[in-house]
Amino acid sequence: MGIRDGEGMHPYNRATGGNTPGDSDESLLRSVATGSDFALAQLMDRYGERLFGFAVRLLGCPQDAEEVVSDTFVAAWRGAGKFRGECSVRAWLYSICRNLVTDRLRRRKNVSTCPLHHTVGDPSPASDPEHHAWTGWRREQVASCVRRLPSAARQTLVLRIYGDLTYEEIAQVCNCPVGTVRSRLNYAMTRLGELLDAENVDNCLEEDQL
Amino acid sequence: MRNRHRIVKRLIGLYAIGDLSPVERDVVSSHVKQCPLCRAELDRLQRVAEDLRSLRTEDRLSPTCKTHVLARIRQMKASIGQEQSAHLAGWWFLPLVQATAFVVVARLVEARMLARDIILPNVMHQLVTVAAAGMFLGFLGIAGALLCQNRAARRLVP
Repeated sequence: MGIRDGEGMHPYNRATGGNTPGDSDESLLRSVATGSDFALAQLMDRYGERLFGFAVRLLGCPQDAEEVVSDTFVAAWRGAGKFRGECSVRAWLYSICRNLVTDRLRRRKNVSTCPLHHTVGDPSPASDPEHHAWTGWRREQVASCVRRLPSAARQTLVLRIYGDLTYEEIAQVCNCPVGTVRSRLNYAMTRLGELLDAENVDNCLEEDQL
Repeated sequence: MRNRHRIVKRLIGLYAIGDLSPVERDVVSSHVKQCPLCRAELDRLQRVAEDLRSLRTEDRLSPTCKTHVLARIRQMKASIGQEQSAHLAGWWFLPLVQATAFVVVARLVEARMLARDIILPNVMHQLVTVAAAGMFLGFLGIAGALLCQNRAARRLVP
């Protein structure tokens, strides 16, 4: 005879569906598949901000990135039962997010239509306002150069630096061999260096003209 | 030297973000000591890596996002429950029709057999009664399930 959902459980366990905050991603996803909101909230706490960082650097717009993150978790809730464990849960979540970002970019066909205040501000302003202004300007410059990288290189760079994904996981998310991930990452770094240098030269020329 | 330079070019970006194996790291660092071009490139890329990492602290997802997702999921659960209820509600009459049809056919067969002076064994009577009772119980079960689902759907919507 089956036991009804939550019957005979401690009240805390009933609320959490038997999950604890220290559970593995796989066990949380299994609970999501059985309809546990608590498990989904746990996954959101773990990966929400990282996915947001990934999405915002590809889309260039915090509002769009937030929508993509919520769509990712709704899609994860729908598809949790289909997860076969062929890759890690976080690689799976990033794959969903990447597909949603690609769809959105295809629809928009323009990377930066929103203001980029999100990437400009310094979270811990230094006491020296001049230093603070320089840091903000430099951050904006880096963020803008990242957005100018070719799509595949940008995705690889963002997944590695901001998502902390392993090379194998990035290969799964991007559907390419690990060797390609390495070469894309190396290309992204050298290209970014060139773009930043070019940007600095342009700024110097502008200052000279003024 | 030129060959080594080419190899290092393919690894220098990964060196800057600390992604090389110890052997590869040694190859790059020993070359960089001798090659001023690669040393300058490495300095530049290490600054880039530092800048990239400094942007990481800014990823702040709005606290309402989680609430928004959970609310969407609750709504979806409720709508799925309602869809299932509607689907079942469309077929509520089926067991009733089946039960009635079964009883009518059984009675007709019985009457025809009696007209031909064929006496129906008691087992047949019992079978007909049990089957009809089963059909009615099925009907009651579906009605009960519908009722529970409607209640659950109402509970899920905040």
